[in-house]
Amino acid sequence: MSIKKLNADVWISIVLIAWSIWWYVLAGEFDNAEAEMWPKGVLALTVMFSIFLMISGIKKSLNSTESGEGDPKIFVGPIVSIIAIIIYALTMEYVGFFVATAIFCPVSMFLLGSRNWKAIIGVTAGLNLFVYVLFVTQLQLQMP
Amino acid sequence: MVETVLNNLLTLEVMIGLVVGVVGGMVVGAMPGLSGSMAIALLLPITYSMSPVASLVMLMAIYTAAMTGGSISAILLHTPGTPANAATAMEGYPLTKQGRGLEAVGMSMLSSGVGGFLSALALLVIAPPLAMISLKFSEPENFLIAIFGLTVIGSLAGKSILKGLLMGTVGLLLATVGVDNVTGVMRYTFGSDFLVSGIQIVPALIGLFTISVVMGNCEDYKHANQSLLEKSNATLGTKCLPALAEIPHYFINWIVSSIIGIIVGILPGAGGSIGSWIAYDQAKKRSKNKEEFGNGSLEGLCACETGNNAVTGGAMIPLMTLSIPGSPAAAIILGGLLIHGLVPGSRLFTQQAPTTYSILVGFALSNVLMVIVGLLIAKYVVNVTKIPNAILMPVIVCLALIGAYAINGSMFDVYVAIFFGFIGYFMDRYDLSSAALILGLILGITAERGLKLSTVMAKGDLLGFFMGRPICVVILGLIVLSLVWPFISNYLDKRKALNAQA
Repeated sequence: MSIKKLNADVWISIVLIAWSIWWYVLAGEFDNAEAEMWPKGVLALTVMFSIFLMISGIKKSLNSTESGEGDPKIFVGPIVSIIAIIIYALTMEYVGFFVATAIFCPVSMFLLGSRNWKAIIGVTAGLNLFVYVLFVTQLQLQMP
Repeated sequence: MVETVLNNLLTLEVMIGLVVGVVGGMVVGAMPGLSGSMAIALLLPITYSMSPVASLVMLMAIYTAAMTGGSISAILLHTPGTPANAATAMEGYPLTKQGRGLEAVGMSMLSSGVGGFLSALALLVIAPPLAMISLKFSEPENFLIAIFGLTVIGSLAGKSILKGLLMGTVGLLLATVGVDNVTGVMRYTFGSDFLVSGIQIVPALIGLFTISVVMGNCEDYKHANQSLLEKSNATLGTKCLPALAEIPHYFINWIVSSIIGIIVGILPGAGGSIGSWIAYDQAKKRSKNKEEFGNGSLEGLCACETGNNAVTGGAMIPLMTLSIPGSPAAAIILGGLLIHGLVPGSRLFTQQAPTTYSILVGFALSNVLMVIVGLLIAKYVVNVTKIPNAILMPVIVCLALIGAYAINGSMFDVYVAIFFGFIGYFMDRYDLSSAALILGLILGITAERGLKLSTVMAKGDLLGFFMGRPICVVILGLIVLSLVWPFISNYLDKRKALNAQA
């Protein structure tokens, strides 16, 4: 059985077991023994369920004739979108919400295939206006 | 009390909340890919500045209206707005093709309103006495009820019980971040001041239920500029509501489907889809016109729409009495209740009774308003599906991020939302329940505190201590039942299939 054929459940369980071990070690460093009791108990349960998931994932991998994860190209859009969202959040911190939104909205709409400039500009302006009225004037929020 | 409830409800703020909830829920519900849960998560930050009555009425109106809105696109476009509208699409779209689309929409609105209204009445009648049971709860019961909530939502919310339980424990772990309430020790803060007060629930909700949806919709980014409405060219007809003489024909259907929906709603994790299908199946069995089912049956449509909306009130019963949400949307509403200092249990129906009853009556009213608004705007609401994802998704991202920021005026919360959005996408993709994780995050502190204080009270013999308390024994029995039920159900299904083959 090649690594490519492994079911996603196996990878999920590996990630969760690694995370649990890391947090278990950290729990051992707490100043108070009582504070580490609950996290350690829940971590033990997490590891137990992860092991069950791994066993079930291995069984699925052995019974399957197809590659475990299908076409990885499916993740291109979601990964690009999350990177764009992170860049948007970072831009928001440095140039402010309204400027960042005025850049993020048209660019992402264009990249997603929209060529209707009236809609792009109208929606961007309308969104900024809506946020200004609701969050700045009504909720008195100090915007980023 | 009646006067106080009326005074609480008849304010401009509540009326605006009611209308925004009904119209907003209907619009979001009509858009395939967007859900009521997402709309509730998105609007949660705005409710901080609102009164508890206005905000909870708005959130609950979204919950019920989204279920109804989903029927509009199901009937007119054969595209269920929410999973609970799948049966509606099966009966509604053939009616649209027959030129009776408006009649189908009218029946859907009326049935949804009846189901939702009756479930709100059930909530008003059943919840107060049930909540009194929680008066007898102490720390051991609180601990076990938190564990019960996690096991039921873990068992029923996703396809795999194991994954549901796993996500429940992950939620419990994330709830340990921050200062330990009992010992005052910092846990998993990694030296960050932002994590001292723990992971904030609302940014996590926004990430899990909003940003993850945006990421999911970007999988098919090449077609993000296409709209669904292009598919439909059917005429809608002119008849909208059933004639007065036809009403008795549907009366039994409404009552039976409502009861089914309410019972299914009370069962944690079962949700609108199950309520809808069971009600549909029962209506088919009772019907004299079985041949119409699947080819455009108003009876079938009436049953599934009554059933799925009746689930909404049913799901609120365990939530408001025992902190056990009956659905993912109810789990988010639990966050909304806690934000406004409304802790589920007996206090809701004693000390906070005026607020609680105002919310419940507001919920019943939202179902009436939903019928009126729905009949007026249904034809136009379907146009929202013209909006392509290319325009919609960036707008949702902007609103999600500013919503996360607005809670504490902190950019850290924005990054928390993005982080949970990222893991939420993969959780959705691999059928790991977001609802179980969020419930673990919400109930983690209660569960830990309950266990620690129970250990002190038990003086060494924890199991014996639990077994000596009748309510604990009942809850322990329910926990065991919720864990083994999926296996029993699976076994019964297999046996039924074998019998059918034989």
